Amino acid sequence: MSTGQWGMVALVSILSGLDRTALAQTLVSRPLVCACAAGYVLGIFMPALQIGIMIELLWLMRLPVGATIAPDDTQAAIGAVILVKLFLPQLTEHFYAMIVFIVVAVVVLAEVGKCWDVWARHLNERLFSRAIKGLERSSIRSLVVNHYAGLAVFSCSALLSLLFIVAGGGAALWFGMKYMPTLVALFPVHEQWLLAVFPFVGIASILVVLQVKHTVTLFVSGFYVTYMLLEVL
Amino acid sequence: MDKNPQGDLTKWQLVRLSLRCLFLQSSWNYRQFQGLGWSVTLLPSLTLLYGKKRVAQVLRGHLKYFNTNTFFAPAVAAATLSLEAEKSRGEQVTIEPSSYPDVVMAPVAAVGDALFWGGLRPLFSVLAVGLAVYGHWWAPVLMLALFNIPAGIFRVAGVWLGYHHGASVVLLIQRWKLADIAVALKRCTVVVAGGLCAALVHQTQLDLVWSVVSGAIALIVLFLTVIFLRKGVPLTVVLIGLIVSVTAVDKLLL
Repeated sequence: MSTGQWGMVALVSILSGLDRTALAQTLVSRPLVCACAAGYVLGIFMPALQIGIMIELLWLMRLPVGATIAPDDTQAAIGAVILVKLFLPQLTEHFYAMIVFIVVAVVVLAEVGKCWDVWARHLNERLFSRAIKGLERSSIRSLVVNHYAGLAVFSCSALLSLLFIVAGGGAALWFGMKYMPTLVALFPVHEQWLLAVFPFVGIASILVVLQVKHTVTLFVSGFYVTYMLLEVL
Repeated sequence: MDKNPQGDLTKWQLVRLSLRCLFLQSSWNYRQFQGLGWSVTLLPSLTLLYGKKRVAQVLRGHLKYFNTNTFFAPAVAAATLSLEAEKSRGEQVTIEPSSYPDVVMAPVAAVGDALFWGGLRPLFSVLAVGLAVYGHWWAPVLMLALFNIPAGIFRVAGVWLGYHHGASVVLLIQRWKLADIAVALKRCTVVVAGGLCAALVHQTQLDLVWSVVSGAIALIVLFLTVIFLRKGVPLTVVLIGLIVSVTAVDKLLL
């Protein structure tokens, strides 16, 4: 990866990281979107789209409300795209198996990666205290400066989370690469089945949270109507 | 910035208020949640209404715990400023402007979160994944557009309605029956999720008999996964378990 590509990926990471909480919340932070953006920058759009599909639904129903912090699926998706780009020369032989391995690794790391978000929010408490002190001195400027300083804190949190995921995932991949041929020989991977497992679990996690009447009827109807349409078409 | 002698905000100032609301959570913290962002959002308009000398004193009333839905925040901010404008003109106000957000933030957050985070986001997300599964590169762009059009309308129209209806804007929001719309969207999400599940199974491109059998198996496995997740098994454990099961079945039976 060139320096320019690293710079562009860092920009994507910061912008999508800010979109999670600090700025606008336009869904740029959703894995499907930010993975594609990172993939476009790195010239691997289709694998990035695949990674986006795999991660998008997993924590969709962990709503960004109040003090709730969902696992950092934004940086996990970008991290997975970076790892695919970094290890691309070694991936050709077992491409889909490695993508599955990478996504599992970043999914585990995303759970830990949310610590950076917690850290940023605690750091912002200091900014708030400073703003209060400033207002006691009737300094309006201190209020504004400390508020917008929060953007810098959230940006750092996004970058640290990405760094953590790329470093952790890279180490796991470097270690796991040696055992991959043995694993694939033992369990020959039917790619489309394995790739479908991720959105499949995502759908299950959505159904767990969506408490609506007649869920089973609606779901099964949607399933069979689409299935028949796909068979006909 | 000098005090506005008419004690009124112009269209342009309302648009700027709406833009400042995009930064409402920039300093989100565990002590006051959106409190600091809330006071900074109101600051330029309050300076216009009260003048530089009095604004610090007025702001002290607003710098406290605040937490609401970000898409409905512009309406609440504009309604608060409408009350502040009335107060700055010396008119009688129905509720203290600094107390108004305390009263409305929770119900507005409940409606907004249900509509945007519980209704629109899952629906468009599942739809986009369904399209992306078939390799449509524009699926993420569609998701962004579908979500941000209503979000943008609420952000811009919210400021306008909030300022002109004042404190009664919450009654207007209540009349729109957004909670019912959110429930309808959730039902649509369940149907679309069923469709996505069918698309995932159909992609395996097996022959007709196997295709029907795998469809039935997929539904059974899905409902078992739902049961596991409901029992509190961590998502990562379920995910890894399912991957191992699929590879084992693939190796042993197919």
